[in-house]
Amino acid sequence: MAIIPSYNLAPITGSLKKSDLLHLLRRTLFGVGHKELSFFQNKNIHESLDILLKQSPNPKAPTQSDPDITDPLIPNGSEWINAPYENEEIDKSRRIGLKTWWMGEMLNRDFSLSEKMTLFWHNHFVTEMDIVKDSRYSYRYVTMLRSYALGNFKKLIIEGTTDIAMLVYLNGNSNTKSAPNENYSRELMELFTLGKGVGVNYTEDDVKAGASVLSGWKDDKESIKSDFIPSLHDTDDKYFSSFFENKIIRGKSGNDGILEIDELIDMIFLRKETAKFFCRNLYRWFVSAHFDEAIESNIISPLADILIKHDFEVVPVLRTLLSSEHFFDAAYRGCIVKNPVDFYAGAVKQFDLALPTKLSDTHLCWAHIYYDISGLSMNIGDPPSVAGWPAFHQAPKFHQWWINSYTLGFRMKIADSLYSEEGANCNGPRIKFDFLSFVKELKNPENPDELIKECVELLFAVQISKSSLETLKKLLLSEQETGYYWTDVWNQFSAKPNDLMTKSVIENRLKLFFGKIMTMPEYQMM
Amino acid sequence: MKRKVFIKNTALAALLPFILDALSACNSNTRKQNRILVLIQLVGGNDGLNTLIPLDNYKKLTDARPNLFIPENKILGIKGTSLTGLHPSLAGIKDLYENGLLGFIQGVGYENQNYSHFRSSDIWLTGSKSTEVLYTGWMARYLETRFKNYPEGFPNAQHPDPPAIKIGDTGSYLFQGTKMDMSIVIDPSTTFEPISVDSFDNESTGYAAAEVKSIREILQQTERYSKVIKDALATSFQHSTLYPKSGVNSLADQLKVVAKLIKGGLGTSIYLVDLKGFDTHSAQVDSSNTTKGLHADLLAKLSQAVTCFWDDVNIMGREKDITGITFSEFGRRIVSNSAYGTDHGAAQPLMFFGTNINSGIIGTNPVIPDKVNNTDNLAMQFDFKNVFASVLKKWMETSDDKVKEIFPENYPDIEIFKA
Repeated sequence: MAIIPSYNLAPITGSLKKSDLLHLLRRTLFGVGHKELSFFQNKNIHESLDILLKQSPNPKAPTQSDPDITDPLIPNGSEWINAPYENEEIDKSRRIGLKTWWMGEMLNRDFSLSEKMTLFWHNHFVTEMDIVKDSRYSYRYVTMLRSYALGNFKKLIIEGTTDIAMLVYLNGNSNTKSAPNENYSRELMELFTLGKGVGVNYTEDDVKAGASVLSGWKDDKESIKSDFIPSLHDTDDKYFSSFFENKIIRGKSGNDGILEIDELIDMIFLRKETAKFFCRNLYRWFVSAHFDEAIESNIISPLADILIKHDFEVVPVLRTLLSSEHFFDAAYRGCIVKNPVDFYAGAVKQFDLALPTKLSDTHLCWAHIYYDISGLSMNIGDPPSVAGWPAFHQAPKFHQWWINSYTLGFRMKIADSLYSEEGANCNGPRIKFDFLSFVKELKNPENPDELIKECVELLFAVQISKSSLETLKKLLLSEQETGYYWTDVWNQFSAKPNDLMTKSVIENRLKLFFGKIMTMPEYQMM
Repeated sequence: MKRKVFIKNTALAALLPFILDALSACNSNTRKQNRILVLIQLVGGNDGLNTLIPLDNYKKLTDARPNLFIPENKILGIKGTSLTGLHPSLAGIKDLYENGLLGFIQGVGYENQNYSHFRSSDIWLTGSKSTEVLYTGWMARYLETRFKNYPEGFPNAQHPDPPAIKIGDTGSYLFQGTKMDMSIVIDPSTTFEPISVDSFDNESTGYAAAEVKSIREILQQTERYSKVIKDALATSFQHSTLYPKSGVNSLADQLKVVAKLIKGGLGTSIYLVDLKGFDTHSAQVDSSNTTKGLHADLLAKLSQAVTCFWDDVNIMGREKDITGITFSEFGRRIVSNSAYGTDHGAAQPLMFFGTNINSGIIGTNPVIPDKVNNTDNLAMQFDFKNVFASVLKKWMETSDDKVKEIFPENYPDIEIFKA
């Protein structure tokens, strides 16, 4: 049966229904639980977006936190972002620290879209930390992404073009007049701005001319800054193809050579394809991987116009998209497979998993979660290639790419470990779900039907079948038919919360119940 | 905080009692021993000119890549030709070649070379022309001729084993079939565990319905195949002593799992493994010594992994049934860049091994123009689709008609295999 959604970008009207709010929050935050729901309920779409679209302040810099490493210059617990580079081994430990810190930021996210957009940019404007091999550079890269999370696409590309990590990653630091290196220029056009869609006809010579514009940059390990060396810059005029309306960028000497970059980026951003390419990526990230002509003309093209009209600020586009009738259309509920961060960090936030408060232990837990997410094929800081994760660009599978016989099994094992009796071992500290507290916050936890109904509404983005509901109920009632047994034991527990026997009866059933939920295919959707 | 320690200590590990090298033996193999094809993907674009080195063009090569060429006295000569040599890291490959077990095809590529990693990988994996977009892998199309309507009705008595195995933590476009991924993914660094599966109805609506359906299908297929895979992995097998420690050479680790599965009696005929890191825009060679650097390390891993694997194949006595072939999304540029690296290029040499192959070099040395400039690339001698069409026909014994369903062009046979 053909699905015919609304193609209307106009904002929805009236109050935000609970199901609409859940849809919005699932797509914009990592995980939705009681806290998120109670914070946003009774707010209308505009008030909700005002909060979600507010840029979060940049966090404090990461510190050396690897207990196995002695960093001679940096005592444990201190910052290293301005310290000298030492050697590969030390830098590796700092890199793990950087990734761990990033994981921590995602887990500590407030009610802003900032963290999710930081990850979006990482996938859009890729560098790989294990190739850059200087954690100080990569810290600057991540900080740049985070500063622009809800900022300006064009300004990010301008700044990012000479970002110190990017200079190393795509060889901008070895691109000179006498020996051009076209790596960055190619990816700038193909992956960061124009894409390779229909109607994008830039040429190989354009890639080379772009490389000439960008020639002359070096990374300086001493100052941890990007340097422009005029003598290495190609001062010849650069000629572009008819796709760029035969644009000529006049070669400039001395420090004026830097100015050519603005001209290059202006030229690329003058093509509407750049705005469209970006909006398609944004759309795929927030709405759906499904594309057709109707989406292209009714959604992508108008969004691109908004982006251009606002001089490439992303917030107006996000605001339009995330408040639109199209976004809230029933056809799109739950149609995105959770990526590993959405799955894991999402579950942590959803069930309000308590991490240890001692800083060194918190780090171990963040690291554990980072490694598990990386095992689910999303290594934060090191996407598989300059194109990012295939789940976000590779037709026809798109998000399905996250799921295969290996990763699906691993998702189940992660869920298992988090509700096992002893919890997941994070190299010392242990973390586990407290389902009891989660259930206590429901409206009618003593009524099994109400409990199930409320959990299903909160935890699933898609409809689940009657037979699944029955199975879930059986798990809660240990195969009994009548709900009274649950009510009875719940009331006993409420009367005597310290009775360990009653508590364990309840907890054992909740573990089976939530364990089943987390391993259902429907739980993988958002 | 090293990952190894990490896995060892997690509760997760405790939950997975079954490990790849489990000793429990279960050796009942009565299945027909299929021919097996192992595809080795060199991810990133391998530099063919520094792999299989044209000695007749050596002077031009040194001019084109003054900071990157391998000194003539370090190049490994190969018996039977004075025109071509091998990178010094390829000693194991040289041995196989000289023992008649390995060969090369020069200049493999396609018309209208695309220089984008991901588009070019898609072209190679879907078997498309440069100008068309296909949404299924060429290998999946082949497998669908053998596993009709997959996954409906599979596994069954005639086909108890998965059509294909992908080693690693992600699937591959190569196996993307009309209905679903035709491979089971096995990660060599962890364990393979059956997945619990429910039989719930799918009541999702909208675009989610199809997504939920495919997740459930993956669950079901994995569950259905998990016993044969576990049994195969549990077979005791004394591997070749040539293997390095696990974690040192990712390709060797992957091929070891392939060997184990084959030894364990799995009837799967297609395996895909990979070695990543060939995108050597910089530091392809060390600035002080061009026989060292990223590319030398990668080729050494390739050489070592293939050598160990072939030793395993001999130990299990399956050399007549197993053949392997390498490929990459493109070769690299003739001219090197100032970062001791090379940019994206075009045609590349492919390597194949086995006992039924024609050892030698098919095609001629690549031609390097007299006045080479930064934009020059190596010409294609063989379309990669032609190569794989020949493999399907001669090695997988596929009829001409079926091969044409997969690769519609009329290709002449390339004599990779003995008649």
